[in-house]
Amino acid sequence: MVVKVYGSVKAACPQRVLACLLEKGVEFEIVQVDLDEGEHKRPEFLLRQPFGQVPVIEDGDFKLFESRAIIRYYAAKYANQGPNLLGNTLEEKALVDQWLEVEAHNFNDLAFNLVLQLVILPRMGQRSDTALVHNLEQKLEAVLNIYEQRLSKSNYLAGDSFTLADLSHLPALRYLMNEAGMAHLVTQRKHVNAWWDKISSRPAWKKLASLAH
Amino acid sequence: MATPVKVYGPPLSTAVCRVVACLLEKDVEFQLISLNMAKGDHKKPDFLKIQPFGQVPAFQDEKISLFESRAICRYVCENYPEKGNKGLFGTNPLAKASIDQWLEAEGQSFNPPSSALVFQLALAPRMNIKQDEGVIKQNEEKLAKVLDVYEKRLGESRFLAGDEFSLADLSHLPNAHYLVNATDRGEILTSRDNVGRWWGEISNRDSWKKVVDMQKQQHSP
Repeated sequence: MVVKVYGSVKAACPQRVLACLLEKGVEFEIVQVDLDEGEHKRPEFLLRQPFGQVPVIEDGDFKLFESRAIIRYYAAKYANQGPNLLGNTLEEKALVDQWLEVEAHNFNDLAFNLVLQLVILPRMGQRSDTALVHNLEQKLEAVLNIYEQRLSKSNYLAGDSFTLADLSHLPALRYLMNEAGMAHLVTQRKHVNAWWDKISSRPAWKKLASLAH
Repeated sequence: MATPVKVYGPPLSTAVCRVVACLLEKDVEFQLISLNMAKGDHKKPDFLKIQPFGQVPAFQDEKISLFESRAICRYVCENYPEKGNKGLFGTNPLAKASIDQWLEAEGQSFNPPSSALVFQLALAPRMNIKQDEGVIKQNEEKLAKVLDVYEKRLGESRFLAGDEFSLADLSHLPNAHYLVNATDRGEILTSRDNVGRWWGEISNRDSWKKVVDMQKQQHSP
């Protein structure tokens, strides 16, 4: 049974799911949802994802939304296939969860809003708010300083192995470092930079990046 | 007898209450070590060692030191599967996936606008910070759209993730409680039939009533 992923291969949240499925070697089919045309806000789509967001998956009769819920499900379902993205013991799994929550609550909003201001609004012909960009950048610098500290003691965020916690950062970091012109946030930090090099060199991520961009 | 687990943070903090509610549902003994955030306890070196972002709560048991309230809740459920409410985080992968889905919806869609409203309407006045009418209006509109989705869902399902109360519902309790009890915008929840019915059920649980009592005891006059 092929997992259907509704979304755009270029959008950050579907990419989180696609990266996970590629890592685990789970076959999938991307069903394009045209965000520019507002397809995600139409009644037929709202039946699949009531908040009108991507991604949502369909796996036979099983449906699920929220990218971080989807990756937790597949990482657990295919725990014995491909790299272990969850950790082994309860404690290791808890650390993966902890850093996945950090990504969701301390990193994502700042990264997303920077990309919105620097990439998306200009594309739509709108002016970005310079003061806001500066503010967001400062806050993200403070967060990445803590990542720098963490990654000076640990190869990956949750421990010695690549897990969902690291994977979850890939889509937004790639946008920040490329289209948003914020690569210095990573390259100026020795351990964050080394971590980024490792995680972005993974074959699964490279495959997705080439499909998408 | 096992050593009580430790939770660090003030009892009035919504994220701390999320964890305390979970520990009470799971019947896990805990010790709440309060922090005075007005005095900057959460930014001191000793605390930053266990929570480098300087946020509350932090959690410790014999095996692990953890932060992020929703990660702590998941760990408590997984570490004590046979205690208290056994189904709080589901008893099979599909149930767990549904709970994770709505826990994420809470974190991504419900939490931001409800937190902003709680801050503007309940906390800012107490801290002598000027309210921002624009922020209030924007977040009321955002929250209304989210609750429209909840209204439909809760007309099809008794609780968010299914027929049983779960971590997904629990995670909403702290912010919803403040909205209903500490602001004049509670009707955003109570005026919707299904959301109102759901709020009545979840807020009447013994575990939540204990959290509210705990808050009342600590509340400074």
